[in-house]
Amino acid sequence: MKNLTDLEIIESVKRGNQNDYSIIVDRYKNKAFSLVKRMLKNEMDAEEVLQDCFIKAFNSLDSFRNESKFSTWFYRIVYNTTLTKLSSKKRKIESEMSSVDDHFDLESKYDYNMTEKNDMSEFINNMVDELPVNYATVITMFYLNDMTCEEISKALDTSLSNVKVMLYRSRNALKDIVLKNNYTEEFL
Amino acid sequence: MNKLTDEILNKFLDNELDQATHKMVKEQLDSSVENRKRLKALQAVHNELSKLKESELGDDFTTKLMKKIAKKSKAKKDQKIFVFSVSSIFVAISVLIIGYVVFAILSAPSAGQGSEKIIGNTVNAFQSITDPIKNFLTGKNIAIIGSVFSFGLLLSIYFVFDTLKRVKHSIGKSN
Repeated sequence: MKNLTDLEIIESVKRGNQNDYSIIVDRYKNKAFSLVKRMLKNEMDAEEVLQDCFIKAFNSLDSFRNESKFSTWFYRIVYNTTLTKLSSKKRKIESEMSSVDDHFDLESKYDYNMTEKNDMSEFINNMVDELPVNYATVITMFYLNDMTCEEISKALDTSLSNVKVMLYRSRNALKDIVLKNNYTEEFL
Repeated sequence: MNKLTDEILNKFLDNELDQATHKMVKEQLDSSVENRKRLKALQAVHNELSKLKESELGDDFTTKLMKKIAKKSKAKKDQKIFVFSVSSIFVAISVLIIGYVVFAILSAPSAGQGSEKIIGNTVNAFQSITDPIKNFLTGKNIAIIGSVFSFGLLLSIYFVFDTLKRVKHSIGKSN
């Protein structure tokens, strides 16, 4: 049963086998949780929001028309639900995807002392957390959720070029810190 | 020395350049230590980002979620049954009333010829229904009915809110 594709499972759920939805939940829960946690920066809120996302997706399964991959459709629900939570908590409106023009200064958030003690994976992980929400979302979707730029643009309802700009800017910001501190040798 | 732009380096990394540009970038990389260093740093960032780890949820997440979904589905089903029952009763009452009116029209003594006869019968039938109601809703009766109706309405509102409160509480508990 676990080798079935997303579409096959969804068809089964639509036919009334409600319990098969648990396979979808198990398949996506950790990846989606990583994304929501990265956006909200709070584990408890992230778990609560993710529950809502899965329930919303379950209730809207009938409207899923196979026009895109299930993962793209589902991550769109995750992203929009998390944005709603963010705005309800009156966080910065930086989360709006249209704001690719946002400028961020990652270097000012870079703690030199901390990275001396920790490994580079942790350094990168911490730096992604410091990125503006929309940039961190793109990075997480691209690297962790294995989505292509096209899929990300569909999930975030933004243009492909916006996604690429955010992906490149994020990488460049990290690259500049690496170069400035001669970490290249350590990385490779 | 030509400095390659960050965008070109990113596209080179993602293999998104056409053949001619790819070749040109390779040549520039070969001839410039600075560019090679920048690409190396970008490649290193890319490699580290590829190793980002998933955050893991507790084992009971799926169980809890599926219980919640099952509960909501049951509530939805119950709601559908309730709406269906109420509308069935409403339809049955309407059918009975219409049936009674039609029967009264057909069985009433004739009041004239053709269309006048039908109109006369209809008026008689409606009068036979409305007259007793009209008599009942006059004088003291209206005050009593009003009081009973208001009391019933208040009771219903109380029970509706109480049920909603209990449902919310039980959903909260299941979380």
